[in-house]
Amino acid sequence: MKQEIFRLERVTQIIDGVTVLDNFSMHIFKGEIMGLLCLNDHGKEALIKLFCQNVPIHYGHVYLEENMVNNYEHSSMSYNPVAVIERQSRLVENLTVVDNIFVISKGFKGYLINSNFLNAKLKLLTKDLNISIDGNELVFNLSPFEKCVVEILKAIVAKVKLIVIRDISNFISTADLKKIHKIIRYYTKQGISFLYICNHHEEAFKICDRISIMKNGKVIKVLNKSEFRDEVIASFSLDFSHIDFPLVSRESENGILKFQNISTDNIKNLSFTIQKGECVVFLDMNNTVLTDFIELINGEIKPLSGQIFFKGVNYTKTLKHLKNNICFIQENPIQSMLFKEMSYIDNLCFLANKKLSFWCPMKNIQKSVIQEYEKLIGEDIYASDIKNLTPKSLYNLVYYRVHLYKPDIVILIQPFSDADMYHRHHLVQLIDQLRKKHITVIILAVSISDCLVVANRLMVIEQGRLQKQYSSEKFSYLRANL
Amino acid sequence: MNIENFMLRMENRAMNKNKYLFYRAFYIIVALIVLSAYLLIFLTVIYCNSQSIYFLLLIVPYFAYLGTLYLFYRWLFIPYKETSKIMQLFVKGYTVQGMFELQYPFSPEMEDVINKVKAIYNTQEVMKATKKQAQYLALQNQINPHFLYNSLEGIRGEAILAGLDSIAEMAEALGKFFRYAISNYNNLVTLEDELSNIEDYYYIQQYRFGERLSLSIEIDSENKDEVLKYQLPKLTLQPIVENAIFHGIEKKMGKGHVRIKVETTPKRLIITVSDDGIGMKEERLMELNEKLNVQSFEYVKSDDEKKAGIAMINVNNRIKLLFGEQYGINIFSTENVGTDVEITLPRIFRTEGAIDETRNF
Repeated sequence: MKQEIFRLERVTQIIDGVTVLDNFSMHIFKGEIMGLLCLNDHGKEALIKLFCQNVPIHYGHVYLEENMVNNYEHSSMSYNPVAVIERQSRLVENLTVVDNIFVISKGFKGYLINSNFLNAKLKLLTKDLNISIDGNELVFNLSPFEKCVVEILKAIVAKVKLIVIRDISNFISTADLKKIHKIIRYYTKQGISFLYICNHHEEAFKICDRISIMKNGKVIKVLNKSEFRDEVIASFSLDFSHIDFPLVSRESENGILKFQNISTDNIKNLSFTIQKGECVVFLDMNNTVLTDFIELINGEIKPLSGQIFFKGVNYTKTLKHLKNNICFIQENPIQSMLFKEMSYIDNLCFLANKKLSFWCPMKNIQKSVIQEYEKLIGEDIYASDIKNLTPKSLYNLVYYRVHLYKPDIVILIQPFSDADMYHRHHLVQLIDQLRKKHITVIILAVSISDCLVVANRLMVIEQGRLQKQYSSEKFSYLRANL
Repeated sequence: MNIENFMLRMENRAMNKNKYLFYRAFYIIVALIVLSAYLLIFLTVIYCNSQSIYFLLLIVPYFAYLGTLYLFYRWLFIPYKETSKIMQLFVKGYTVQGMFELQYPFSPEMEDVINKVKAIYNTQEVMKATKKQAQYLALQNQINPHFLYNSLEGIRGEAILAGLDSIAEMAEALGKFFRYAISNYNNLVTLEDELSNIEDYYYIQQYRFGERLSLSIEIDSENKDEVLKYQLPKLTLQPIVENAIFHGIEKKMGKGHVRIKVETTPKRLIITVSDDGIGMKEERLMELNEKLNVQSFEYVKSDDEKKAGIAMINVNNRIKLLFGEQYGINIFSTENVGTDVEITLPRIFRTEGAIDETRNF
């Protein structure tokens, strides 16, 4: 007989007049990995909070181990034994691993801290997982993967009943994700339940026992293992097919960007050539080389050996001049790349101003930009305050700013991370717009996400080395195996 | 319409607040709080000016004042909000049980009034009505059951004599199905009986659909024999399977599959009936889910031609009336994908008197 750990029964939650959870029902059994595939972000945050704390709800019942802990009549505000693992770590960065796992725990009752004893306990915990973590290391120095493992161990020590894993593939590499999946499977055998929240069904299919599909704060379908098929999911997802862009120029020896035997602290003898108008994805399996790659392009570090060529010219020598022809779009750009106090049009023209001479009248330029981009952006282009605009409109702003600037190369850092299906679909269209303007697109990613939808080529980097290259014809094989 | 009237009444109420005793009491309490604060400040000023040692004695009334405010919040405000919320949900139809189990009634007289309402509500009568409705939906017309059994037995006998085994088998399945639907209606039945009735029903439908229709039953438990002995209200599954076939699979091109999955937990029996038919439009699903959430028995009187959801609402209401609001039906459906109906019941492993013992009213 299955033991039920959590049950949400017809929960409706209304926050500030908005129904964030609408007749939401879900049950999770002991030792089960329940997937939650969110087609959009609506209600996701509220749901996680509801799992952690018994906050007031408009209607419904919440059961923990079949005992009612929250209902519409009375919400105690008490906390449930639930741990959440997400991008924002809940560990104390300035304390050691063992302090985080054992000392800052509800059950810790000792007055004296014996590091050796705690280290021995940690070794016992990690022995079966085949993972080695130094217990005396500060959390600050750990990799995202190690932090995740420490958080899982902390949750196990705190005897939580449910661990919520939220969008983990956005911040740990593909290789590390496999290790995390192994750990999750190990603990499910010990009776711990997991709620695995992610945006991609391919990821959920590999690890989950059942999957609930959520849209607008309500469950629209619960899939059993036998229904884990692409054609079943296709009915719920948007059509991601798009126009295939042929290369603008014929393949040349130097292309637009060429790395020749480049080595840095983390990159080992990397060589590749990118052609003009191409869209190339760099998949960093271990999440180690992307920072070096960005710093090399920015000129913040110099290669230990090798040369970089941009349009056939040695890039490191002409860095200052050429930097203007390469643009970056950061991860989660609507938070990090916009000026909230500036109007929409000022934000849009922000990069283009670099290309204009001092004497050009700004008002006339903005007027012509509005004429050109209004049909693409819509009424939002007139917004004087961008704080109240939708994420879709803000993504438009970030990408059309680059579109207007028209650099030779745009480097997108994890463009699809943290974006729900609708936003990812929109991002694919925006990347297509950049490519229509013959801008070369380089995508740096640690997980494959929807990158293959837009790419011409995939380069897989493992342990700092270019391991494999795949052209778009081989992507269907890759989707099944990566 | 009731909810609209309710909203209208709420608006009128807001305009004429002084009519209500609650608001009168509220104004007086607020006035007393303000007056006490004023007196405390006044006393503080007097003592400060007189520089008397008794000044320290003022700490006691300050603490008493803050304590009273805290008590007001915990003992009055929060319970009032809870009671008020339950009453609003009762008026909107979300809960009946909650109203009859009020933790903080406004007064003993109000508690008596609620008990009186409970008696008037008379769930027995509603139960009878829903049962009749279920029976009606199962039979679809008023045929004398004994006449029907005898006729079917006659057909079966003739078919055997003529060597028409398939007709004999169909007549037998039909006879078993109707006998089960009509006889001994008041008791809970075992899951085994209910599933056997579904198999008979499927057998009958196969004559019409042939290979287009398939059925599978999965019992997700190590101890299947025990699970089959669990009890549930009679004709819980048949209307749901019927809906899956006629509103899901019949309208679909090609083959269709109905799957019944049974899961158990220490306290619950969860049965999911899934079909891969045409599914429902989102508006229809919302309408149906709203009806499943709101306890109303208007559908019993209704001559509405849209009977697709009536059987499901009937089953849901019967479960809620028998076992409480926390049990019932959930529907997940997507157009062109299919529909899942999740039925949650208490795990009952008894033979007699189950209905009365598990009722919450």
